Amino acid sequence: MKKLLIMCGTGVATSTVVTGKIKEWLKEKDLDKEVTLYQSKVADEMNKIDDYDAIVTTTVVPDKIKEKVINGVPLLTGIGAEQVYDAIEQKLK
Amino acid sequence: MLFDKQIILLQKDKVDTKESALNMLANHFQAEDLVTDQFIESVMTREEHFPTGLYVNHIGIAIPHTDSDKVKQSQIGFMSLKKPVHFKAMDGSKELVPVQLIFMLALKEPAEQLDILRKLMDVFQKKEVLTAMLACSNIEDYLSIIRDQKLI
Repeated sequence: MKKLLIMCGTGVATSTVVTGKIKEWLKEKDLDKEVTLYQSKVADEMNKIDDYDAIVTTTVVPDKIKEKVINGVPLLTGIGAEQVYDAIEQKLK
Repeated sequence: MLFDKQIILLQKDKVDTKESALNMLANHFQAEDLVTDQFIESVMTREEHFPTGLYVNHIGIAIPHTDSDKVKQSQIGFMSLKKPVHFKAMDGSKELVPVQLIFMLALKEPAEQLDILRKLMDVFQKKEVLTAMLACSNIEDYLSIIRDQKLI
């Protein structure tokens, strides 16, 4: 089982929307049985990010974890959303 | 339900900073007893650390909000500005976002409001709706836009 984390600043608004979108996408890709989704806020995850196979964020993250996260804001704006899904898929392989 | 208090501030001028915009909106939330005393300060602090500016289709939007423990009752307030104020970008990019549409979110149980939140964020992808929101100068027009978008 792969672990996918979605995080925003508070864990209440944007990550909720992005989680919903990713959930549907996983279903379309037939990956929903293989991936567990987690939704959280940045502050709670700083020391645990290596536990996840892929991380999508809709907010600013500290530089030291920048390399490890996928910018999920395009899923909100629609601009560049496909590239985000591609990047997630790569990480989950 | 998320819009029933009609916190709708249209085409405001003399709003020069994001702080004064946030204050003005948050005061309405407080006046309606929708949020705790800490809400305003918490929204401000959060906006600094986790900014919410989005630049979509050449229109700047912000969705300021904070943790649900500062919220008594869920509500979404709206403000449009004649002149943009600058917000930091949600994705952390260096450029500031010139914001003219602000949706202030007070969310108690976000998961329960997923449907509305999604519809709201889908609106951000519809340029003609954003343009209409920016142009609208009376509350009835605004309500009819959000009704068309199935937000109410």
